[in-house]
Amino acid sequence: MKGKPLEQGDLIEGLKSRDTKVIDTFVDQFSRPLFGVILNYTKNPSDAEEILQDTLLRVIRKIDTFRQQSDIWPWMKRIAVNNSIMWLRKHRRYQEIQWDEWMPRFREDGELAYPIFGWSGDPEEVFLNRELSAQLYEAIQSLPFQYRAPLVLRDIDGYPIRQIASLLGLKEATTKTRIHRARLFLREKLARYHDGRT
Amino acid sequence: MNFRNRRTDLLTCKECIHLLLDYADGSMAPAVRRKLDEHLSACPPCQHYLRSYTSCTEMVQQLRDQEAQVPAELQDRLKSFLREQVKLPWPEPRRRRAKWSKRV
Repeated sequence: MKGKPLEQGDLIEGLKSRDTKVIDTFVDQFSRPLFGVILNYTKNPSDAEEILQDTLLRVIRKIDTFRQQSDIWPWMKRIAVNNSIMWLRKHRRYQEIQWDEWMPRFREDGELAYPIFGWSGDPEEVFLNRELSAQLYEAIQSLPFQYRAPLVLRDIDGYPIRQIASLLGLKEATTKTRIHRARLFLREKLARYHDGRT
Repeated sequence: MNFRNRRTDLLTCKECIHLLLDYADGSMAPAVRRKLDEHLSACPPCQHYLRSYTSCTEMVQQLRDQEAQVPAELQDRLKSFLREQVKLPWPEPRRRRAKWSKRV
């Protein structure tokens, strides 16, 4: 970060008056965390850059609507999330997955058809093990948009199911099914990674 | 796998795994949770499955609020773009449709 971070009140006033120095500091201060949010929705760098640019512009244009008594970061993050969803919906690239290959298989009586490889990791490991972190990120990005979006909204951005359903125009049951399916896919991907089958 | 109780009132592995989202998210009705716990206590494969499902979800949650590298050149481009944009008149805000979202 180049300049000294601005206090929230100074930032808001500077953006309202379109002060270019404040705008520069705003970019220094918030482009990295906002880019982090956006990259969870798309790994394509040019898409992410375009979404980031549009997000920063929207924040400036909507700053008059921000309620000053609350923290500005969740508000900005929400704009980045909404923007990512809208942008990716419009520019959707179709990805397909052979779901059967990644879902648990059962016998006719409903019991698991094969032994389960019993891995469980320390969640912090994802910070320490770059290869694991990359595997997880790649796995998330390989999900089709209609599964990736609800998963990221729920597990990374922490939105409640009802809000995700509303944001994506889905029924709550469909939203839960998609999140669950995406989690089963990621679990299997990581199980194979731990088992050395990737 | 002969260690499992085959009484019909017990959940099968398939039913158990189908319910894991509500179980892991803590949004399950107590009666269903009891049935699931009952199945899990007698089924090591589902215990393993639940542990890895939960671990995986917690690992994904660790990606929350991670910052990303933004190249200096991109930051400079963003600053120039925004400086130009703020000189232009703001577009009129569009009226929100009652149901703006489309199914994905």
